[in-house]
Amino acid sequence: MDSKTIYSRIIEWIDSRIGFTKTILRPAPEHAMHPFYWIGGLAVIALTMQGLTGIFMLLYYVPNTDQAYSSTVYIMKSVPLGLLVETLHLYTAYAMILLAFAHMMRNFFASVHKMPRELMWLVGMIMGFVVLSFGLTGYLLPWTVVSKSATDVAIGMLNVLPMQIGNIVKFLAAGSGSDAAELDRFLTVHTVLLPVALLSLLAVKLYMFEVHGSPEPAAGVKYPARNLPWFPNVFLYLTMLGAVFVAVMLAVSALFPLVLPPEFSPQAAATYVSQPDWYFLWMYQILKFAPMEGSGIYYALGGITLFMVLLTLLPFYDRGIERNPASRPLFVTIGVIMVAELAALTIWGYLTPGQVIPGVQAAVVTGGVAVMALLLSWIIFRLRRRTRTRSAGGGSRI
Amino acid sequence: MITRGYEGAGYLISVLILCFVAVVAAYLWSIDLLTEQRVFGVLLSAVLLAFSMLIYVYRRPSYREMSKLLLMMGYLGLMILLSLGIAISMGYVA
Amino acid sequence: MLGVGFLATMAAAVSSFRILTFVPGTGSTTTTSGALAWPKLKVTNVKSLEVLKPVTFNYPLDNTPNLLVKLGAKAENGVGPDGDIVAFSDICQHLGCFYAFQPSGSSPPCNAAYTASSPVAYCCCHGSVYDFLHNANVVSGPAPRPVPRAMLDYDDTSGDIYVVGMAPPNIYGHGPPGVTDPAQVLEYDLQGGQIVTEITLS
Repeated sequence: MDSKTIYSRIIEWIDSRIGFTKTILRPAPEHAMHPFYWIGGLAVIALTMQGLTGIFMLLYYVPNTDQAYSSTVYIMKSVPLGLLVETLHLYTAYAMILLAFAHMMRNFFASVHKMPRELMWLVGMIMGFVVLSFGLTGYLLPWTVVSKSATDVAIGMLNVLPMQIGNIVKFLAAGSGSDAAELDRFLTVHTVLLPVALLSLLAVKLYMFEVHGSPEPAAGVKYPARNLPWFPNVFLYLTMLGAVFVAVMLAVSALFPLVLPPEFSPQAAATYVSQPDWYFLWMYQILKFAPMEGSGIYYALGGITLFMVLLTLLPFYDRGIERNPASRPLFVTIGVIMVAELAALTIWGYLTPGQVIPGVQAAVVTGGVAVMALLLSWIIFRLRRRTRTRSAGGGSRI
Repeated sequence: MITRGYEGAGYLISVLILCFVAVVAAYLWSIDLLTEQRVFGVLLSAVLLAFSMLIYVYRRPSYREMSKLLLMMGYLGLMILLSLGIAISMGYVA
Repeated sequence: MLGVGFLATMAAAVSSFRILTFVPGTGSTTTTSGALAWPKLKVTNVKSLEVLKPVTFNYPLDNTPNLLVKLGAKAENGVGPDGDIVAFSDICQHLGCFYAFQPSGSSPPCNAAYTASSPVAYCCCHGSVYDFLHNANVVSGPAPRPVPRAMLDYDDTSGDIYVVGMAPPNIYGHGPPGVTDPAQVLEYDLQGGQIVTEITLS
């Protein structure tokens, strides 16, 4: 109150009208000044970058089947900073998917999904599906040989859905079904529908985050946590993390610029092995298992859907109040197996493009990876000292 | 600056980083954005890294409490990015 | 009060399904196969066809390409003076990739280890092989059924080749997989795209 600089007076004037320091910008505990607590924040920064680079490209992109590819090439060759922006858009998309996955796994292992944050997990999982849809719809837009064929395969799988639902979904995704309608739909979904959905969900999640605050470390805190004010401490920390993240993305985009495959045509597509982008390779690999051919595709797609539903509903059956990973052997093991299988299927899918995997080999590899992950988890649990903590999601304001 | 000793080294680092940022940013204003996009990207990345180092130095109460490892990684990153920027602009990197 | 409101909401919800008729295929009671018919269009003339050089044309929709090729040997259901001109849907019945024609003795660009022993089609995505001499029967690979044949008509006097329909099964991606009833095949194959009104070769 004694040193009223012009700066603090302006801030006070604005704050008394909007009230942000009292509602949304709450102090953070000292233990939250660690990158693991802000992976979701980095994903939001990635989202902002995607929005900006996407709007830049939208100024030049033409969404009809004759000019989609040529307008993309135009951005790369003739627009100042176009190649950098386009490459940045692609790599930040990959980064966002990786960050979302890391965020989910970190929250899983740190038991953040337990009471009172179950709904945050639910909203977060829906956001994850929206992010994957972003990838699916954006992949088609350059209209290259690989992307159009891969998207056709994906849309073709919608025929597995029961008739009415399949028709509605296909109508939403591809309109009348002709190529022009599909491209137009995908662009609208990618630039309007999905951003609105993601931003709304983000608003809900951020609100819940402000209510509950950062969770306590799963191993418990040894001292009462000191709370740091949002400005300048949390703000500066986030700016620092964000600046490093953007710097890394820029450097990678500048050093490894995008090379576009040739334009799509049915004849050209017949000579390429069409594959989805890497984040769908695990699904693609499951579909390539020999037992999943023909009518087995129902089992494959049904199994994948079941897996995603189970993952979404995790807080409702993982009901123990233990938060320390060392005291949750079952779920930590399940988590380790899940990550190992996803990684193994993705790498395996990358190594075997277009090859159908015999059933025995599929069982041996997936089973083997699961057994190895189980072993690893068991070894770690035997080596660790068990500490029991009874803190179930502290730090909540309500 | 030197008379402040070990404790005041933080100020020295900040000033040096700011000089680096000023020089690189001035260069970035001058290059052609169509033909030298990769140089622009690498050097902008260096500027952002320098900016994050500046924030880190500002946040720590004194030089004694800064993680020397993080600072070293930052300097290394700046050096690598700067060299890459120069190499690309001279045509050495494909 | 609450009960009445609940019943009213349920009635509204059920009747709102009618508004989904703008979605093609959901108001299925309104479509009758009597109103649908295969377009009959001229594809090309036998004189402009070279042996073992396929041509692509979209039929019956703008996003359903077909391969037409003169095989140089008598084929099942082949038309033309030598009975060797056949046409099949270019969309693989496994997962919907586009495949290419491989004459005898050639290897596909994506798999140099495979050499065609007769005129076949090889799908680069997962290695399905269709025998064009025998109604596109699946020789090897994961395809569960042959690709649908485009039914051709040959005019002896002028040498023109017309496409008059698609034989079962339905084209992949248009309706549930593996439909064999011709009336249903007609309905599904004409959905999900713009029906072509004239053939342009590519």
